[in-house]
Amino acid sequence: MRSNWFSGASRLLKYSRNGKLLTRGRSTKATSTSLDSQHQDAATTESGKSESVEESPEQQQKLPTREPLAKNFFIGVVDKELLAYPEVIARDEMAQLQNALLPLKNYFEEPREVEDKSSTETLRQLGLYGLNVPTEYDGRGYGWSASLLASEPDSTDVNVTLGLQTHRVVVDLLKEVGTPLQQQRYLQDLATGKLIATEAIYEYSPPEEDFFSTQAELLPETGKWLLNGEKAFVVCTPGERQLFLVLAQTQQPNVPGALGRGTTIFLVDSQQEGVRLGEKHATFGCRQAEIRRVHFDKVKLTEDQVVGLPHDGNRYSEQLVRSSRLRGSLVGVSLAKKLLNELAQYSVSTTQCGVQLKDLELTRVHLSRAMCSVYAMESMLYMTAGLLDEFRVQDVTLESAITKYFTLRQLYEIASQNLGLVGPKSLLSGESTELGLRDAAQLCTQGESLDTLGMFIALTGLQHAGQSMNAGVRKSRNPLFNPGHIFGKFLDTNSIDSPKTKMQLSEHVHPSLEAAAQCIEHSVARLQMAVELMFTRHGNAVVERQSEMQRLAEVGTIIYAMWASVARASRSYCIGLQLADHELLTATAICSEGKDRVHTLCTQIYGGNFVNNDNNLLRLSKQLTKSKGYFPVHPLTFNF
Amino acid sequence: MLRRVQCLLRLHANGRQSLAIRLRCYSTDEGNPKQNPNPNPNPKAQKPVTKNLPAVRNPFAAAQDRTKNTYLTMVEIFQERDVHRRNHVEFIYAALKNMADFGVERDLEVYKALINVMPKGKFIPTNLFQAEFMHYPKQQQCIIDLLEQMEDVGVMPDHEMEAMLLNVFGRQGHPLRKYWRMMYWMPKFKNLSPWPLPDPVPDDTLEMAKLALERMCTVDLRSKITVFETSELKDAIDETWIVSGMSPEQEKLLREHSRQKALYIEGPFHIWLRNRRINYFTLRADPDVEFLSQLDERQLDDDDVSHIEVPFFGRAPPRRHNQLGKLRSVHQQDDGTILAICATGTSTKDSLLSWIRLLEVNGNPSIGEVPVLFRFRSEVPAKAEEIESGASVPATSDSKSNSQSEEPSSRR
Repeated sequence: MRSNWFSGASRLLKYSRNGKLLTRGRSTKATSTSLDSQHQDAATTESGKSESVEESPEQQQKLPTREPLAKNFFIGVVDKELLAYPEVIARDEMAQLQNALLPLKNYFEEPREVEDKSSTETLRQLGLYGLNVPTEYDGRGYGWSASLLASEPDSTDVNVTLGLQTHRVVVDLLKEVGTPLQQQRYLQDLATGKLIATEAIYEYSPPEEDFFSTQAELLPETGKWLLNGEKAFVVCTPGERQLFLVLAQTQQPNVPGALGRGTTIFLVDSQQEGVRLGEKHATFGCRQAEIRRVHFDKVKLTEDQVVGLPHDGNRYSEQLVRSSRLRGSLVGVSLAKKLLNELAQYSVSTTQCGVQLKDLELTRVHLSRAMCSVYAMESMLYMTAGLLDEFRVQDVTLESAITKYFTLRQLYEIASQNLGLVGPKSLLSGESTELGLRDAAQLCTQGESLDTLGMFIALTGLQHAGQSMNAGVRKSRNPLFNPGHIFGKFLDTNSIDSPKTKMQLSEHVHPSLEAAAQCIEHSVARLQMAVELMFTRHGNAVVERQSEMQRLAEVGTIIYAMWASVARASRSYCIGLQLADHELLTATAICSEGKDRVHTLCTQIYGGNFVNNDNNLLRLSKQLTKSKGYFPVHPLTFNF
Repeated sequence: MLRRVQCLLRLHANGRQSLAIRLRCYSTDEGNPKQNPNPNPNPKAQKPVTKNLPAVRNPFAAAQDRTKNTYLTMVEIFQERDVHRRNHVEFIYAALKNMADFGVERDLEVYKALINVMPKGKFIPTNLFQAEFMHYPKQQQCIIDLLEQMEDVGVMPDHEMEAMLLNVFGRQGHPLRKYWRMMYWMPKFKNLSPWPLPDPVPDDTLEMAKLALERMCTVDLRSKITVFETSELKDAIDETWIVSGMSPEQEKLLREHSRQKALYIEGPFHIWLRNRRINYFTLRADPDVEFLSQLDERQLDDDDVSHIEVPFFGRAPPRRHNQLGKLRSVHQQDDGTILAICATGTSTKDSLLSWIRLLEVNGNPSIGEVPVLFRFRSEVPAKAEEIESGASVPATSDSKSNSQSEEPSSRR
């Protein structure tokens, strides 16, 4: 019965684009494990915030905004409706899209010479620069999901795709926050590839005090900006006209000191005076990509080259990083898939000592783990994109960060696991495993580092949770003023080992996934308990407990991975896709492994720094820095 | 019954002891001159001085040449003088008392030579009662005092000394128990200092000053120790060295210091490195009260978790206490901000003035625009000549001489 209903629902979903039939209404409330009224407060403020944003006609076609999915995990709230995997590309559009992608697929599949591959002219002819540019500017006008799908073929070649993805990120940002003037001026050229956009955000060595050492100042007499500085790790296309998206530090007029410090996003044309491409970085991986420094010497910029409001770059950073994280994850997914396919091929074709590698249990476990990871990352990527496409101004900041975090970590894991299986020859230069490892490592450092990404995930979750839990936390931290609250806590029988949940997620997935849904329920409840405990223990000093926050980030990541996988597997099985039964198995595997990991991590958080060894490590680090390195004496030293 | 137990004990004790002796193969032979670890190359030079002295007189006080060799020779002479070694306890006490004069108080070899004076085997208790009631108490106490002195000056005994004590007093002897206790604790204390010093500490004052400043600068791991020569300046009166310690953090504080507020050179303060005292001076500013009150944690509401900031682009994650982007550095204390420390070769006003000018030249131009005052806790000579005439720097910090003399530095 339930499966019938479900497949019906997913069939209906495709009409949602036309706005005639809404399968997901606003009226359905998110389910909450704890019945605190504060959660409802959070919900109202959240929706109030999003409504103030101006909506484009395209946005209005979409369904009303829902509460953020992953952020709500941190307060133990789940949106069960979102267990239906988003289907945002209508059936007929999908067929067209597949047809349009055929030449791309063919182009990237056939083997070619290296120089030929990266020629910008071919990429231009294939229309790769205009995938996500609106149709009125001669682009293809794809949405998030469609443009990700369309960039899959080119993402098989890491060196080519780096430049393309950063181009698309800038286009995404311009579409969202660019003024009509800017859109008119740039988008047409960007769509055809006459102008190739690229982000120039990161610097070679970040400054001690400021955000960026690239500075811009407004000259009051001319109303122009003067940009000075240098950016590093910029993916360039030398010889072509380029558009750099530069983040520079600016000082607000009339506000002295650190308070007036802000960042401003500029669009800088490479043909402007003072822009100079620097030397190419000798990178570890992605060696064919042109990753360079870019120098800006007294570049004069007009006011309409500022994206968004001046000094307020941080607000637009959210859109910027969201897009770059999503598109960056796609590269990771493709690389991981490629590595997995090669490894599978290798283990089938290799026989050692009369045993085929594929029959060894160790190999089988390796392969399946890698497969589960790739499945999870792919599910997360398209789920996040689907949320963006399906709902009006949906908040997927956390989802996109999690997707990138999970993808890159697992990608590196897969790439390094290959070494053990293939053996010493895997690191010979030119071997595909070697290139894969290099590229994986490069992707892990391209842009933001994984550690800061983890911190971002935890902080964003805590920020969201803090807003709704504030009243409860204040009571818990002042037990003698609130005896009733504390007494209620004493009577509470909910524990980290056996959490009580009433989410009934299993009603929204195929019955075969009931156990998996139960895993998600428990994990969400544990995450909420861990967050509440951390707040109670540390108050707002929680932002300094980075080691615990890193655990929190991992928990949040795993839960979203489980969620996306279960949603996808459930959909596949209900509509009977190829090998859907194995998808069920994959989702079950991901969930049972994820549940255990979440349990371990939350128990560690519960135990506190004296139980979970953090305290010892912190003490050691103190001596380590004091001795500026390894401090123990040689094991054979005599004292007397 | 009791007697049988006693006999058994004794037998047992003897057996163990003889075994130990056989295993150690240490000298049980009395008065064997070969056992002297340091045979004197020219004993003739000293012999006339110490020969045929009556035992009651202290031969150490009369010695002319106060070196380790002389000392060991005197011990050797005492051993060879007669078979009975009369008054050897008094001799050892006298020898212990005069060790500092000969500069051998930290020398393990010398202590071993003194223990070797004791006859082997004679003082070993042969039954339980002897063992319990301190057989030969005077002799045992003498060696315990010797070990005590070793412990006080930090000389760690070795395994050879254990064998010697075993041969002299046996397993039940109190000196051996003392030895074992020492060997339990002393290795543990030996490396306990977080600022280990070389052993022996260098004689050179410059090296000592460097060590002292390095030790004090460990509060800030980025501190750098620089050695300046006043000869780098044109018109410095004193020709001396200046060891200066400053960290980038302090340089920043100095840069941001208001040009209107004075800086003070304070001192001399003392730091002791083992048994040597080093004078040092600080460059200090008055505490930035306004800034410190901003950081007052009592104004913060720890319970409010509704405003957690999230940084983008891999910036340092936020800290609770620096919403304004400010953090208190270790140099900003409640009673003042320490901007630099130094020790100079002469500890004179002139050398300190040179220090300020050298700091100005080496990356701190702003110090030239700020008034710098001297504020001394005791009298500090203006020029190096005055020190050379006197015995040492008059740097007593008792309350009488604590007249704070403030005078602006005269810029040359």
